[in-house]
Amino acid sequence: MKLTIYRYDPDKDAKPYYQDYDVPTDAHDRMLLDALVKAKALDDSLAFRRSCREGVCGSDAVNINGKNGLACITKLADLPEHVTIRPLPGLPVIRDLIVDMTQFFKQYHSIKPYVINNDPPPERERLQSPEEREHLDGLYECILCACCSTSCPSWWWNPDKFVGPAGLLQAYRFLADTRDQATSERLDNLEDPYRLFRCHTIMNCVDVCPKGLNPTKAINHIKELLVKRAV
Amino acid sequence: MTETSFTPSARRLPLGKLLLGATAGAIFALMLALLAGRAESGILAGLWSTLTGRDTHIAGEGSVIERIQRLQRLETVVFSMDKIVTGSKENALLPDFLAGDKLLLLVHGEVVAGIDFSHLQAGDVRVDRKDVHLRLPAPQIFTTRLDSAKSGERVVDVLHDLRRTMQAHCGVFRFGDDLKKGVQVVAEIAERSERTFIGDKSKVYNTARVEALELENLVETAVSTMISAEARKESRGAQSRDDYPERDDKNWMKHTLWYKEGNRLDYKPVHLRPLTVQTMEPKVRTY
Repeated sequence: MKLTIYRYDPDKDAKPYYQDYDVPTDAHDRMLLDALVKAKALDDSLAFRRSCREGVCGSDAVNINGKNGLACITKLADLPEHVTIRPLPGLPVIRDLIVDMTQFFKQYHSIKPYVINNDPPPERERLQSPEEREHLDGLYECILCACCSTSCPSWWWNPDKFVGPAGLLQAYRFLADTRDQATSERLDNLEDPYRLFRCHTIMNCVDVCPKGLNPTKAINHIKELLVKRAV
Repeated sequence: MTETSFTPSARRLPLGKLLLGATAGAIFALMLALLAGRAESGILAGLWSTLTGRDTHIAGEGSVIERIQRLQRLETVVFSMDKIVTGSKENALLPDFLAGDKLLLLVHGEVVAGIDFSHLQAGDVRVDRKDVHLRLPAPQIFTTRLDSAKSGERVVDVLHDLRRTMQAHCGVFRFGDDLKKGVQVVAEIAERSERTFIGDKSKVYNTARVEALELENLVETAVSTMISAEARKESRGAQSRDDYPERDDKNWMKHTLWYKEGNRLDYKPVHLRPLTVQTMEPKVRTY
């Protein structure tokens, strides 16, 4: 198959360029990551991040033929013979397919992604009923690969001010958690024309999420909570 | 050993700057004098003592040395070098073009050298008034190699063979002959792994280099696994040998220790008396 890959090494390139690779794939190669690994065997200067090779670590998020996704769980069978791979859009490129995720994680940390509970810890764990636990389904599975936020036009425009779909999904994950006591502080933190309300339900995030999650729905739940609090 | 001393040294300044500095200094001194004159009472007294700062702390020699040691290593030079190695073999009787042999090898290497501050002793630091005298530990070479050998094998090829070898010779079901051969094969791969070649010379996010380092670690793990498995003549836990299918508590209830130095094995006994829970007699697990 033919791969066209975005190349940029600030150590030697004045500007980025595209390089073509003819990768000899066989029946053992199931996912796009297999092809990428073979391309790297041809040219070890091709740099990309990968780790678990099964859609758990979120390292190999790239832009595949214009759509963000994880190379390790994108089936070669679902792709055309010619695939163009670019780094995730909207983030500074460090090298080739590797982007600087600082801005992404800054937004993620800004929503305090941990349970805040001031009660003294019980002897065993803080318990939840199965029904309460169910509220977290579709929220906790996020692997922070940044496919969603880097496909969001609102986030491209205001990456420093808009929390973005990944961060907001996590914000709702803790708002929905019965063990968390910081609901009103969390809502105060998000009640802002930029932080939450830059979401215009474009739903690119839902379209690209490799784990099948729905950040837009979570964002709407947060908006609902804000309305309920106001009336 | 080198003796270095740090003392504030006067630098040459352009005349214009010097004049400007002198004027500014004079004005500042005048203000200080005025301030000192009235420093007896009120807020100014407090300000004066803050400015002059009577409580001076001077770190003792012990603390100076501790802070330097925390720096650990000072990598002062990284040399990248090319060297052409030649060798020849001559024959006493026949002329060179018939029996002689000539060898030419281009070697590319990287050497990192510097000073290891953890070797600093208390006696190496001497403080007298304003000067700190520091006796530096002897410079040494920290690392050599890795970007070495501009010619060599690709990391991916060695990695691939290592993977195949471990799967074929030391997999889930293990056989005596395979293990014995595996020890040999994995040793050859270990040797090959020292002559790998990295095409990527970039200093930015060099994943090829990371993979070469990973190979180095994997080779060590593979060698220790293969040798230990071959030596253990029994089946136990994750080791299932076709030629020794039974668990042998009499001879093999011991931990294997592998030493990289000399590539040798040693054993240590298993703790059979836990400190906090009741002792349980070890026996074969049957399901």
